Amino acid sequence: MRRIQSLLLVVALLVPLSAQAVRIEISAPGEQTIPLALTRFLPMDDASKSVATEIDQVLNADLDLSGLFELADRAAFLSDAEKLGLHSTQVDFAQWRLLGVDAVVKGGYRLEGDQLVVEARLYDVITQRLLTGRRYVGSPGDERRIAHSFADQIMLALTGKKGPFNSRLAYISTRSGHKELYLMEVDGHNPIRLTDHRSIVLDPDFSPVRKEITFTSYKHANPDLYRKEIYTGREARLSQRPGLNTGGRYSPDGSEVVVTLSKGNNSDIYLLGTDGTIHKRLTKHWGIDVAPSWSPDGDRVAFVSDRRGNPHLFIVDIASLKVVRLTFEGKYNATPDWSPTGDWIVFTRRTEGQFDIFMIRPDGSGEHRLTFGPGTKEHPRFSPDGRFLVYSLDLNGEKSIHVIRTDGTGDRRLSAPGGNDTHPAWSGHWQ
Amino acid sequence: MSEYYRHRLRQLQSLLEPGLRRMLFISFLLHLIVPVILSGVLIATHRTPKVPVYRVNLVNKPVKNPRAGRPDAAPTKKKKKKVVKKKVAAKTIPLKKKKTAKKSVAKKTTPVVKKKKPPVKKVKLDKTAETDLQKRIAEMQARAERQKKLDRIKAALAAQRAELGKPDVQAPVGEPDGKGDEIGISSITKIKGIITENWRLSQYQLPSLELQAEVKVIYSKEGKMRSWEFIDKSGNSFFDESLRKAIVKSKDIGETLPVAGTFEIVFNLKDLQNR
Amino acid sequence: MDLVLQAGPIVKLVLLVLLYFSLVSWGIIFYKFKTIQQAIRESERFLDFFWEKKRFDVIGQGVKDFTQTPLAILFREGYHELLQLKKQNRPEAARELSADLGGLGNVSRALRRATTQETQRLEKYLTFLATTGSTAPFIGLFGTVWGIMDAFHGIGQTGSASLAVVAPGISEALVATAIGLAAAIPAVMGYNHFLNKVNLLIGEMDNFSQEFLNIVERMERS
Repeated sequence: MRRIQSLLLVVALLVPLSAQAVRIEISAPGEQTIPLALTRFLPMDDASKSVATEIDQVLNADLDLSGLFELADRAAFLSDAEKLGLHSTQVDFAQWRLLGVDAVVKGGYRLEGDQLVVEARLYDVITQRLLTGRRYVGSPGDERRIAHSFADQIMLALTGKKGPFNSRLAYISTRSGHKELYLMEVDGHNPIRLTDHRSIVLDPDFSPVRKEITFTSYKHANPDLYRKEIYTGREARLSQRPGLNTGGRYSPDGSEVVVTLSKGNNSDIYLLGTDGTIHKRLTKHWGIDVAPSWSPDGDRVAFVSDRRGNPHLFIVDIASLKVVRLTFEGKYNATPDWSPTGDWIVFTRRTEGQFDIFMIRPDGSGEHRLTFGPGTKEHPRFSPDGRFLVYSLDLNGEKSIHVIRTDGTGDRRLSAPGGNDTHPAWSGHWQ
Repeated sequence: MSEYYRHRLRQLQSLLEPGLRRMLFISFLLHLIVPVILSGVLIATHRTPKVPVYRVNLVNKPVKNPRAGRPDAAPTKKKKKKVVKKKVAAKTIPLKKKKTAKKSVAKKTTPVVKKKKPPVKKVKLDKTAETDLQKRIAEMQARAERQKKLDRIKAALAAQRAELGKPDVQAPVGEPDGKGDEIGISSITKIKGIITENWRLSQYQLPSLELQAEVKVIYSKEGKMRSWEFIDKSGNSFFDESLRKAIVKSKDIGETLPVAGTFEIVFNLKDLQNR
Repeated sequence: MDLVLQAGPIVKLVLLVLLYFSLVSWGIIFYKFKTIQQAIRESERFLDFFWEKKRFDVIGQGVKDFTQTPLAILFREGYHELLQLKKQNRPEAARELSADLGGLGNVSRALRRATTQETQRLEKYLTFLATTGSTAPFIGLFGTVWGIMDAFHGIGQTGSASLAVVAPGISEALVATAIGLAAAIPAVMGYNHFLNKVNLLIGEMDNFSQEFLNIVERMERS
């Protein structure tokens, strides 16, 4: 019996040995981009061609900014690019496979009465499936919004996380001669002036739940904190205490605002209700505490303080009011912003006479520098999906808004030349 | 000024004195010998082993014929076979031919010819017919015999060829049955290259780079994928989806594989983590 | 050998020039070694013969056996001149020659001329050795510098600077210097050696000239 057992054991050991398959390890993809074919949207009736151009431009810019794709050369497109394929059976996937693309974007549009209808599809070329499809109905002139929205959908389909393209950026510009608050699309188009304070407006922040912005303005000589409903234009002073009322940031649930108040003497971080009452004092120190930023879970606030001599980043726990020092390097660290995913805090640090953007984990590890070019970079803020950063670049005396991926690549300028554009803030997803 | 003195003067003025020419020749011979000795000594002392030629795959694309362009490359196999064939043929076939020829000649001609020559032409038609028949039978017999022998030779040849064909001469050293003298592209490298090339994934798609999945792939010797399956999924749908696409795109290697079989491919992102 | 064959055209040319130098200088070394050795040996024999016989007419007949030594040439020239004088001026009374110092002067000049010629003869080709010794290293160095220049140019173009890429080019180039030195060293050694021997022979020739003149003078006086 035992002999048979041992024999079986030997056989059991030998069998897998003899039939062992060859193991291959592949430790990185051949390319870190997804080859995507972006076809021109086709008119389904005699609607004007400019719609297609506009959609095309926006999609191109957004997909390029995402860094996710390698857009296939249009010149290589075959006959299928000229066909409207709104169903996966109508698409000749063999053609696209020939081009080596993994995914293809197709679409069409028509005018129904005075409504613009845009149909957009994203197909997987390999599995010949529809990845995402949308029908957008809007008024003529909404092409850009529709395209941004579909770019977000493409990101959702391919990464599981919506893109930030159909959101807005608030920023401060001097185009009107004063520092006023402006709003634009994430690719820099359609800038709109929101305030007319003819004074100095600073440091905007979007409410995560309402179409509302908070900012600081010197309209009444003192830096007061304001809130403004974007579409109605209604405006109210949230805090008008003597001294600084700056750096207002909405909490992640939108119910509170963290702010720097000096109340005539030393500045500290306070928690305000949306009605302007003080809920809690977060710091109480003789050092200057400014520039608060919420953690995405709403439990902690990062801020800048010179309590250890030079300005450094600290984190205060709202419940226990315990303060932890975050940065130890550098002589001047400023303007922290906590990523929506919670795993990074971006801030600026003065190096070699100019400010550059750095990232650090909330536990103080993984500190690294993102920007290396000339010019001072200030006010970095995360996009709502945490994939991008927007910041203002001061180069040769001209200030402009730039966007960059969080790995430091894909830097591009957003704001048009001619205005000193600073203090960008990224809205949440904009419906 | 003596005659001899003039003679010496002439010699002095000449470019080459008579003795010098011979010495130059000796010197020339010595110079010829030096490199020969040097190279001979070098070769004798350390006969450097044949350095294997490594072909580096720069674009993840396997080289189609890694030994192309080398004089000793592909044809080795063919040459061997040819030589064998010729030898066998040369030895055996003519022998038989001679024998059959002799036999047939002996059978048919010796008796026939004598009868044939004088009378056949006009008079004895039946006799010519008979001899014709005899001749034909003899010929057929001879042919059959020849055919048999040919078949036997062919069988022997086939056996020899089968024996020769067993070690895959073209397979490079890296292969289990490789007899080539170079390290070429193995099936593993080929498959790895093609699947890697077809694997497209952006790190922007992933929440983390610590993902790993394992896929079992079975390729036929023609380079066609017979089947594949996930052994272990990463749990991230985009990662797994990218692998599915990479595998589907790699269904046909496009050339024969030196070794077919099952391959377990582990996909991870270690190279990206290290950056 | 591969090193040489793989080198660039300029390096090859340099190597060819060096080969020429080496070839000729070795030829000269052999030749000179042979002739000078013979000259020294025969000079000794000739001097023995000369002092043994002591009579010019006897020596004049025996001198034909000595072809290699310059002393025999000197003797021939001096004796020839002496005979010439005797024949021309006073064939009947050679004895009176002694009073005429001009005759002795003629012999002396003949000897000096022969000495000069023989010196030239001995030194012939040695300049080539000197030239080889002094220039071959430089020629080799030129080839090396050129080869290295070439190698680095190639590296610049390929953009790869690993040792595996740099080394073959440099070693190819260095072959030129090695061969240059290989050509120069024997040439220099040979030159110094032969110059020494030639000086020895020149001294011997001068001594012999003096002795010859002394003998002639003594002869005339007696």
